[in-house]
Amino acid sequence: MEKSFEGRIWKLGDDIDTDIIMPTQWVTLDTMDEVKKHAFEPLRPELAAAIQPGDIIVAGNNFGCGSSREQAPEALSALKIKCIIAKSFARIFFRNAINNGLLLIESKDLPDHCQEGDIVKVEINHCIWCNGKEYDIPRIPENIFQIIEDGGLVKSMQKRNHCLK
Amino acid sequence: MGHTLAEKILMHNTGVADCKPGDIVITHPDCVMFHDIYTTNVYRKFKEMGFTKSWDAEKVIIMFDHLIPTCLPLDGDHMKHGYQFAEEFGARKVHAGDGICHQLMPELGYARPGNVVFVTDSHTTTYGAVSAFSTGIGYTEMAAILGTGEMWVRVPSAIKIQIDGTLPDGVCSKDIALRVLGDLKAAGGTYKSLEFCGSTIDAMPVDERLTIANMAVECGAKVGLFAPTKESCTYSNVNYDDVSWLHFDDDAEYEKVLTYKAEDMVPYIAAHPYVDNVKPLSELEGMKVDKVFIGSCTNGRLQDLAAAARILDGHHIAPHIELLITPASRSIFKQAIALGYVEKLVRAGAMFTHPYCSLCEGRSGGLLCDDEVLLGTNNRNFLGRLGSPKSKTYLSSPAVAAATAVTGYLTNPADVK
Amino acid sequence: MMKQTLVQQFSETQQTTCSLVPDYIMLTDTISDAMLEKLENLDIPSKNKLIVCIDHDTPNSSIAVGKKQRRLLTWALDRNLTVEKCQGVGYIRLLESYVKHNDIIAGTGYHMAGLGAAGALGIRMTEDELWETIKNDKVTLPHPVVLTISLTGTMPNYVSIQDVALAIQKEYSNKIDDHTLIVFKDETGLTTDQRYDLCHFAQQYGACSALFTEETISCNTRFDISATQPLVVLPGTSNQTEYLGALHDIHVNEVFIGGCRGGKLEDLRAAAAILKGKHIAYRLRLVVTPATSSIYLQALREGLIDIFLDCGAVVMNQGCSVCWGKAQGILDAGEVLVSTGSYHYPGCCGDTNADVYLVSPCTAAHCAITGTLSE
Repeated sequence: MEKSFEGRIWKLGDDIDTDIIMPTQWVTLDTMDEVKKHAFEPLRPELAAAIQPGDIIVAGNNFGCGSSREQAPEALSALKIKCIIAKSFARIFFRNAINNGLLLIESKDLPDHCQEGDIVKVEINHCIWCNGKEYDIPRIPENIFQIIEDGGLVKSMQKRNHCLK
Repeated sequence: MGHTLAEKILMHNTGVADCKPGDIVITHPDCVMFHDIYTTNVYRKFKEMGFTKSWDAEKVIIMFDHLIPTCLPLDGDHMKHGYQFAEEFGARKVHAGDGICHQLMPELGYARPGNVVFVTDSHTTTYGAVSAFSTGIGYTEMAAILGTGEMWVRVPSAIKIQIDGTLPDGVCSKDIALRVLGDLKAAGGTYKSLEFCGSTIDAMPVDERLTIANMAVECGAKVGLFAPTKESCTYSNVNYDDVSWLHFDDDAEYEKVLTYKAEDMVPYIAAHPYVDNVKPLSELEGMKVDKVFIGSCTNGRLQDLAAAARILDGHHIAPHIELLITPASRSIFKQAIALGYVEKLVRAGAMFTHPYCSLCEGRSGGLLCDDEVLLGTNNRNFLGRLGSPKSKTYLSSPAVAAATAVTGYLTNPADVK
Repeated sequence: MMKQTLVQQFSETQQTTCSLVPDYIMLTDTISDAMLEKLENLDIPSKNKLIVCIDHDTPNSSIAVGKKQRRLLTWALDRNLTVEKCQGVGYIRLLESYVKHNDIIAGTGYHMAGLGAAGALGIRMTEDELWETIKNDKVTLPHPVVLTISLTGTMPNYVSIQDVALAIQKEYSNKIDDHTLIVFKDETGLTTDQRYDLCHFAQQYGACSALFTEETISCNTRFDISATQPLVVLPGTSNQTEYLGALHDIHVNEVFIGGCRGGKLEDLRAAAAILKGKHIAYRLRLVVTPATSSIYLQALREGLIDIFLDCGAVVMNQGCSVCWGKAQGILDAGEVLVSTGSYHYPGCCGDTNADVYLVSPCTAAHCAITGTLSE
């Protein structure tokens, strides 16, 4: 994974739950290409089509609260969201995102100081640049970073099972 | 230095001599369960990862509760993948249409005091009521556990919630759950262990504890734990002395302690569109409601149906109200028949369905249209979860829901004679 | 002058059209938005004749259906109309609580003829015709050709009334078209539930309606029910039937016992007698749905619901359920449903590549145990 990258941001509020990220009636569709079209539908029906590969989502507190619905992070991964920056993440969403190789970054300050459409520059384990200002971000724990680095838990397990053979 | 209930179970499970919040430990689950919404994903991921057998087929449980009766295309296919996994990898504990997984796990004794349990569903916190460290995970993680028998867990910090005294009439454990959520807020328990104690909790039967533990996840908690009691051990069919190590330590470190007097509790409502938007019923009384839903893994148990039947007995639902009632398990359905509850509820005008996730899963069966208002006993009122994003969902106890079905407006059960 | 009975009226008059005053007009949640909009702007002449049944899709399977049901309910309550809200299938509710001998009932449903079980005339019409009927309080229809059938004999104990209905279809299909009113004269002691099935099927195989009469009439023909064998309606768009004995081991994914044809009390009793103490086949889904609230209550009292629950069935709420094919029991491509419902065309319950066989409650119950459709 690149240590630094830039992306355009889409901005969302607090408590974005998994029913908003991926409504339940779509989760049993057969392919992720079909599922992903419905991301954020109840809140912003236009958003899924507007998101471009490499875009970044910025949100408030408790992003991904609600169900264990892994289609939520998987769909965002499929939309090629580069990373999600939020004040905090819900627990299961956090694990699911990591397991799908989706990078999550906690920042208490940035979400209050950026607008939709801004370009941010992320330097992993170091900081985020936005509108000329620098925001510190925490280091990612080693075991979690390893899963993201592998490209998600499936690849991680493939590596493990290959080693065992 | 003492330990929290969560720390004790994790130490017991992993064999580490000591642990503190923030430590990463590798757990070995006593059992895992995945349900029909995710069977296809689990099956595919498991194969994709290169596994050829599950770590211990006796510890694997598969339940069909969201998709039976099938209601959308491919529902049957997801069930097929569940059976396929069971057949290929020797899992024999398969339940189809026996009830909602979170009721069956404790009811059938799969989740027991001191256990570590992972399930592909956020409401897995429910089994904290029978003192299991149980929490929700995704399907990819489930596939990895099925292959390895292991899962990493960060030891949570804990919040102690102490409730003493006797609840007033018409107030039940759902009201406690809503009150605590309103105070902690939707992210107030994220990654944490909520641990419930006090004389009200000690005297509370498992059925009511399950409601509180179920909703612990609504403030982001990893687990919602209760210490075992003689009654809860009887429920789980274990010896109390074998699990008495799992008690509250006076010198354990809690990051926060909330204390309540049961006498101060009133009926509460979680108002649209957030579970933590909690208000006393009295503030909203009289608001018009279109549909009432009594059921779900939060409040579809026998005592919930009893409360509803007691209030609806001899009444008929209001002309503009639709009432949907769904028991949480096949055995609850049967007991409710034997005790005459089902008869009273159907007579009052209810649609009484088979036990399954029903309206709470938001895929079929009573979806709300624009501007409709639902009062439900379930656990979530998120925007658009139960139908149109322009509908509104409010959450309450079964007693308030039943009283509201009678009048058609948010009503205190004490006012229905 | 004494009012003529329906049978007298249709047997004697020679006009090409007849004009009738309805006793009841049935509206259901299948109503179109256009019709509802017209009704919302109408000052209804005979409000006490309208019965509004919210019965097909309960609880509603989609937001759109919920919207229509709410609009229909609000309209009906605002006008103080009679409402049957989520209490089960409208036809059976009408038979239980409203319709009597010689009544005339207008509606758009495919099973209006079922009301003939009470000796009433259920007239199926288009929505435009129903609109005229409501507006003018009058039904105008081409004069029907009456076919009187006298039923005799005793039904073998391994045969159900639906088998008799299909046997009648086999026998008379070339004599029946959409002008035919079948009048049954029962010499065999059929119950109302059984009579419903015979009238219901008569419409399905092409008659304009059917009814039972207690009057002394001379019949065109006699049909002996003693020789009947179990029959199955095959999947497809025609009403092709086959003897159950001629079918071999068709693998079944789902069985439905319920709705207006398979969810009446006698249907549930028959199915329960077979399912008692047994368990459904591995992987098979059995959905049981009592037709109405009062049937649900009686089934509870008789322990039938317990039997269904013990055998592994899914027992759903009163209503059309799987037969309506919108939410309860949807099929995937390649799946097979054995149903006591009324529809069997491709896509009637989920994927167009699923097969639906129509059978009696007894055949359905056996099938649920064995997992295959065979004798």
